[in-house]
Amino acid sequence: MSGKITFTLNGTLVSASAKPTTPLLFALRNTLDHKGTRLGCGEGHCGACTVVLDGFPVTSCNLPLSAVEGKNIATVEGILDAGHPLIAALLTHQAGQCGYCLPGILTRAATMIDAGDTVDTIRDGLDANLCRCGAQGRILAAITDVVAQRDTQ
Amino acid sequence: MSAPFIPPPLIAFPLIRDWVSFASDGEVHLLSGRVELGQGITTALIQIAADELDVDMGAICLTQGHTEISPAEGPTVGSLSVTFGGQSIRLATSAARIVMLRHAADLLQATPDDLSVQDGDILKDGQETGMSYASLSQSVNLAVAALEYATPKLSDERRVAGKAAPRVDLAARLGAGYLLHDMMVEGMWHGRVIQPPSLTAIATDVPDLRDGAVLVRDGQFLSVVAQDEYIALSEANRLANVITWKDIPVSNTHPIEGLDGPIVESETLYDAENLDAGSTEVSITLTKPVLSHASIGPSCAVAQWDGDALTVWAHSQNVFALKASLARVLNHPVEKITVIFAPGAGCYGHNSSDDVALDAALMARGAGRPVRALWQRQDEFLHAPFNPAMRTAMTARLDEDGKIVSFDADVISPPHSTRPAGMDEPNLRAQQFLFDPMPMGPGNDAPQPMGGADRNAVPGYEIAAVRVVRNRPAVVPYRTSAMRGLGAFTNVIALESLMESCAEAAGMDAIEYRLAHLTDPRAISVIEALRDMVEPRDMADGVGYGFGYARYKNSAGYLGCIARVIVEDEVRVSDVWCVADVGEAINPNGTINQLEGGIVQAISWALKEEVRFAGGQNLTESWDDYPILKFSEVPEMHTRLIGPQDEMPLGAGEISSGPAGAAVVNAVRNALGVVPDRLPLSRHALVTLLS
Repeated sequence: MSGKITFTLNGTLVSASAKPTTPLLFALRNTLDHKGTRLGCGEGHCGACTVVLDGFPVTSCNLPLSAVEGKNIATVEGILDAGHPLIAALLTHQAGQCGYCLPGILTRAATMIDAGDTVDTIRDGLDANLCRCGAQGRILAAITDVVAQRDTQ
Repeated sequence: MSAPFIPPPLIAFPLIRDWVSFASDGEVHLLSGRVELGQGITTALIQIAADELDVDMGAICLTQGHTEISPAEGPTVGSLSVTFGGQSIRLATSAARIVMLRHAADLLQATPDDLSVQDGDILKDGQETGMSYASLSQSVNLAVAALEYATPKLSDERRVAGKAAPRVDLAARLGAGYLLHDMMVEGMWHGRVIQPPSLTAIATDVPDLRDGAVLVRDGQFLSVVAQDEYIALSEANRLANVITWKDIPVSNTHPIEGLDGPIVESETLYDAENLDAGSTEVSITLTKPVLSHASIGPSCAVAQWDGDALTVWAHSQNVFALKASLARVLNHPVEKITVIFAPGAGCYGHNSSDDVALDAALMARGAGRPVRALWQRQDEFLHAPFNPAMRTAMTARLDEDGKIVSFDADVISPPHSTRPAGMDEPNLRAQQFLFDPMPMGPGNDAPQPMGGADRNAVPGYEIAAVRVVRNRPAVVPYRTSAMRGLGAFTNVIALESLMESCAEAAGMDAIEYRLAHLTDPRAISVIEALRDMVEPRDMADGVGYGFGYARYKNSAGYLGCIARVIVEDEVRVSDVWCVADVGEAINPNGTINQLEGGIVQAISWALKEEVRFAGGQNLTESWDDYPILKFSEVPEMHTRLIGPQDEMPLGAGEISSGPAGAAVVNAVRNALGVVPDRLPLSRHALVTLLS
């Protein structure tokens, strides 16, 4: 049994047909061709699949598609298209190795930066995102730069 | 001056065209068997080639790990990619430039010395000639031996290698489309494997699948393939829950107990007389549990059969061995199989990437269509090969001046290497479960000086009499693997713990004590530079400082670390200072990224990580069971490279794990006044240690 779920994806109204229990992640990747959001653990533990639901970062691997009917979803594609300053900062600091975790980290951190969070609260927030290559220090340095830019404006 | 170093891959693939060719549109095609595991090798190889060829990095297109195109260099392991692969490319591209200039000189009736290259254009006395690599690409003969022509630039002539370069692949990794995980093939379906709980388990009562999903079964290899990925996943998980497995003997032996049990093989790798010389004896024992590779992305592969031709895309460390291994297990002609590397999630050693490639090939064959196979998180934690449990005991004997005069090490560990090795030992997990099952090979460790379990058990310090014995336990209730540094992590911690104890016994400063046992000026420079970085030290309550040093494999980069820890309920590492000499660093920024990544990973191993077993049964299924270091727990990092840029690149990717682990363990010892003998240094371990 599958139903049609309609929601706003990076500002555009979209529909996806799937079993309502299908996690949002699979609809994004396979139905809506938004593969920037990555499947890590499938249990909401690692943060690789982080998206933004009505302004709040959430994991999409354990969020049923049916729960986003009528909601606003932003993904890393939206953040990349908007040219968020954290993108350039991550590249300046060469903040990554394999990068599997980076779309989720970029999504959460950019959202928290835009919401006015401090570096300390962002660092604690990023405990929801695992990085195995050990690039956390560089990622935090990039975030620190962007928060400083934000706070001087 | 010693004879120039000739990298082994260039002996096996001697022609210039084995490594580089030129297109008429100006693109330079560079070939490498080394693969991008997230370590930045793509960027470093392109830097090397850009320098020798005098072209822009952007003009170079690198094909890596393609069984039909790339030089079959073997595995991307051992911090050898720049040392072997990079030097091969340096010599081959240097030769290419010289052969191109000679060819141009013939056509221009000039002498090669009057010619130069700028961005791929050939200049005469600094003026354009109308000739370029592109225009000569069809007429030049690159089927000539690279070593006949190669004259690589001296270090002060290089303008790209040796300078920080942004990773060519990092921006693409921020979004969709770069990773194998995002790959789509026409008509491709999705597959998930159902892992048998043991080698002898037999599935019974396998129900019919729903929602159009297809069961692909061969013996006890069970998988679900479906057009919709979530249906493949949910049907696989439903099946896993309802299948009854018969005949599942589970070993009662915990991996650590296995180290105390019978030993099947005891090899003396180094031996000496006078092992009882000296008046004071100092001993240490360190036990390390089973560790998981724990990459964030589960392993993925795509397989496609076109008639009897099989193409597999895999993020394997060794596509060449994988190809031969697949041929053996599938009983299929090797010349009908192509394996193409595509980047996956971070790889720190022999993980499940080869296993999933066989799964994908079996699923695609059974389903009659291309299949993308993906392991699940719990597959990784339960069924991927592990870094094995180890115990290292070391004893040093000191003379009356406190100098170590004899040393012996006893390493108890299963072999770390069980990689797919082609026809003789394919070693792909699913081969054990097929209708015609094949047992896995016993595994092995490379001989010294590389070593496996015994890697870096031979001290890099000057000691007259050294004995090292490697003991292989009989009972190993899990599959082992080579993970970043192999035995070096445990052995360097044990050795640096021992050095700390010896310094205490000798009444000497711990760093001075090490310097007194070293004569290699590069080792001494690293330690002295590190010592100077960290003064003065604050000695608040609960704060400890620890030092660790090693030259990885006693032949790669030199590296020292000092860690500052704060011990409260748990251990927190606040700062790590690191100095390394890796010889020439092609991309210093990338080198530091690798060193610091290795440090963070080593802290995580040392403080938090253990695959939990009940008897021989693995209970670790999720990140909840296997926490790793989080953002709020990473230290401030202070890293310096001091290596001479005109010396050989020594390799960097694995060199920091041992010294970083040792620095943390010695810092905890410094804070608590007791010697840790068991990892990880979790809250529970601290309580045990102090009681």
